[in-house]
Amino acid sequence: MITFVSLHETHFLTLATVGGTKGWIAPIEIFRKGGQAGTLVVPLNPLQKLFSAYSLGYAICPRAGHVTQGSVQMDLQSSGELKVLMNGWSVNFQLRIVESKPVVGRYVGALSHHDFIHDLAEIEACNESDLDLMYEREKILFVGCDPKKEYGGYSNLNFG
Amino acid sequence: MELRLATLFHGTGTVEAQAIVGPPANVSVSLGGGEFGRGFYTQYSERHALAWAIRVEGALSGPPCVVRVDVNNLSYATLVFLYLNAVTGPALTTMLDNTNQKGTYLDGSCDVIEGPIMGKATRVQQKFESPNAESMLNGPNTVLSIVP
Repeated sequence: MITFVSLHETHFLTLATVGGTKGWIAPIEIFRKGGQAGTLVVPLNPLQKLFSAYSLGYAICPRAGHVTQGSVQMDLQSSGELKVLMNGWSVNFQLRIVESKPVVGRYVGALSHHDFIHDLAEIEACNESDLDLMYEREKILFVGCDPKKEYGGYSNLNFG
Repeated sequence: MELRLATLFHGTGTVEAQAIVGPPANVSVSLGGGEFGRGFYTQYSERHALAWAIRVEGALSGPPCVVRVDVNNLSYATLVFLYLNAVTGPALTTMLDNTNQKGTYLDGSCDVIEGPIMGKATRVQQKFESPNAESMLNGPNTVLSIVP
């Protein structure tokens, strides 16, 4: 029997305190005619380690208002970094460390996704200039998964 | 040579961007609500501004895009800044969350709050909050354009 297991996603979330609990929430959930910037986060396994692979959503924006989206696979390396290959580019991500600890939290919003049962950790490019070059030269940027397609409860959001 | 101190970026939708850019320019500091409260938010990174717009596209009017804000240095230097760091920035954000003030809070003693995005010193944002700042952004010493 073949079992298909969907990859864990890379999410675009922001930190906020909801009901007294600080954690991750989608920027679109707290949109106020503008709003709060986001970052890329990934779920951790029960041992608080990275999974072996993630899906990473990207966007290509050749000109204003024209956006093509897709996803690529990001694989865990023996170095502990996550590596993604795209259009000839190789970019490594790592856990963001603050005061010797990764930035980890639970999802505290109202949407649903199978990854939200896990702790979620912020990742950052090992070399941010790689991402700047990708954007500058090919208008490629990594944006995480699409909340409209991937998150349950999206249609209940009210943007006021 | 025209000297510029700041090139800033604001992610939004194309309809909102057209309204902001004008003419006439129409930046409003009375909307929005981010980590530092109510105001008009920018950041130094065009890429990050666009990524945010893509991921909140469902709340925007029109496809995501970025407004570029070029501010004349002499004009920019007249604004009063409050600078937050990796400790004071997140502390303000937590306070605003706990008091439900993200959509209303104004420092009141400055024109602009500049500080890290989610405490990350390498990603800096500006929140323009005062009428004085709004006038500068809509005035002749600022160039607003939609990134092509």
